[in-house]
Amino acid sequence: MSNLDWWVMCLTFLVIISYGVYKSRGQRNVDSYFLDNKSMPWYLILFSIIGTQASAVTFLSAPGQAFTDGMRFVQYYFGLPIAMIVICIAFVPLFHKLKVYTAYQFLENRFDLKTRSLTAFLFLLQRGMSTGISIYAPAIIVSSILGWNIYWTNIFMGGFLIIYTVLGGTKAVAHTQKLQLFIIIAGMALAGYMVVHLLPEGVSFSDALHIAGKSGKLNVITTPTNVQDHSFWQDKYTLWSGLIGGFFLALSYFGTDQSQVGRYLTARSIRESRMGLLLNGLVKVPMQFLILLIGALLFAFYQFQPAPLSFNEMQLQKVEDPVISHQLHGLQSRFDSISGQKHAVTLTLVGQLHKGDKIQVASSREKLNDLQQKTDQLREQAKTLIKEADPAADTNDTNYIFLNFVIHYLPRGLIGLLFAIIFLAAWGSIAAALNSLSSTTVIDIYKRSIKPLASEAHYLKASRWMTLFWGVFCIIIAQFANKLGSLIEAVNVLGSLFYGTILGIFMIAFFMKSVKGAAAFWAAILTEAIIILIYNLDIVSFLWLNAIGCLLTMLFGYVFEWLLPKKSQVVIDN
Amino acid sequence: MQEHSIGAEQKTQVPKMPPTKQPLDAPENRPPLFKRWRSWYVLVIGVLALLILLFYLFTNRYD
Repeated sequence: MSNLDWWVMCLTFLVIISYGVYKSRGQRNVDSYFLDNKSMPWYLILFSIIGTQASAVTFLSAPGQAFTDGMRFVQYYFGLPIAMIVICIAFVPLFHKLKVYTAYQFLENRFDLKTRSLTAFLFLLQRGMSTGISIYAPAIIVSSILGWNIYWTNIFMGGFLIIYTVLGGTKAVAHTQKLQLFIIIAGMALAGYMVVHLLPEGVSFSDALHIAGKSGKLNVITTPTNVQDHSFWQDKYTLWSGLIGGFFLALSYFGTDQSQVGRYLTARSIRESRMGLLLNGLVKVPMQFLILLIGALLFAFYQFQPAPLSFNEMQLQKVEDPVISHQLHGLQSRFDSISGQKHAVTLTLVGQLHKGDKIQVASSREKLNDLQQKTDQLREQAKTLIKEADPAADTNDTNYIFLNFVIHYLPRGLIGLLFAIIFLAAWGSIAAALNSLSSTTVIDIYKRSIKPLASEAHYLKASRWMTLFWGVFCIIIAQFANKLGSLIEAVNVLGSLFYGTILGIFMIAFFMKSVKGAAAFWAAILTEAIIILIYNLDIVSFLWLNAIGCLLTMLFGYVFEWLLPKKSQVVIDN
Repeated sequence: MQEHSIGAEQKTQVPKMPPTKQPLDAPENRPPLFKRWRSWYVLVIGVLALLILLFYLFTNRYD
């Protein structure tokens, strides 16, 4: 990076963090630390919700996902708007009515302490691990660019964030997320513009879409119809898995994950919470579509520009074995030769598209796809060689595709801004997660079961210590995140392992009044074991686990309520 | 009427939390722009359906 880029990046950080610290001054109790005294307007709720969900993974990994697998990933968000409506109707009024700090407090009112503690534990487990991945995502950028050791980079990145979150609390998180989101949207729009701007002369935006589309990258809607076909259930991103599995995942995430519940609990009224959530339902799908579109356009861009054999160039440079290095050079030569052919065929295709010659277009498309297959094979061979040279190497370069474009093709100054965006997106999301991990630990475990009668000042101090503890925990998890492949997928797989069960407990609480605490508790334990088994057997795609987990918990809850011996109960009229 | 069980589960009872001062139909909780929240829900579903349709046309147009 140039000096100008470093200046732009540091200046952006300084403005954002100063603003957050300025806005968060004067916190004296847990109410202000976790809920900002319930004073937030709807637009801050909206920014906070989007900022919490859209981590660095979203901006790093999503364009790479579209580049490799096409835009069908957007279907994963189709269930989200429907989930927003259900949360507005069922969850928001209840949480506001009970004046809870965390979603799990409600479960003790409805069931018992053990069910509340189990749900809080499941949340802490999955959110702690997901946040570790969120720390790793921006850390790979720094390590890749500066050649730093990834383990030390994780510690540096996470450590900086911990100080900011421990001091700032919820208010700092929300106010900085507002500014961050404006800068993020502006930066991503500029990056998208630059991809199109850098296409060869005579190749328009529409041509780039045609090139991406003819290579199968604009597969936004995929609708398998045969339910008996194995691929119907195993295909990760289809209209059906997005609508059904995505609905359950979004309902769990926004309705029961404290990192999101904590955002809209800070609203000054039910209306403000609802408006924040509903507007999120309106903007999320188009926003994700546009981010993925950048990836599809990048694919078209790299038909004209020489792409590296691996987008993680540092990994290529690390190979020291002379024999393997020689083989990699051989592969690179063949790759460059095929890339040259692709360039020529793509230009021919554009000319044929302009003439409207459908037969020739089909022929060029076939040639282009053949060449694409050859380059894909060479990239796979390169990965095998890299792995041979260093068995611990991260050969999945999906997360580096957008980054590679930023470094090599964007003008000075804009690179710094894009890097700042990736860091800010990460920090916004991680700060909210650390805040929620701390609030759940303090409110649902420490204050409830360990030290119930301490002063407000004590709990505020404990909250800051817990933020520190979870920050350290997440850094440790980040040290192992390089084994997980596409980070955006890893975060969602991890969530799907637990969300279904957590959602099932809340569904029983809301809609199955006859089921009591013991039945709900054992239903959750059994379901979680089954979900982990299904995942290990690889029977269905991970999105379905959310729906299966929720429905199984409800079913088992009903069965256990019927089977478990009833204790003598005395009804007290209030 | 609210049910509380006595026995093993009695230990886990929590004090009843004070209800909020804002009922659902309070003026500060009425939706903006529309008279009822239902209209907002229909809008969100309608936009989703429209987006799916547009994406479908987009996929077919460039395939």
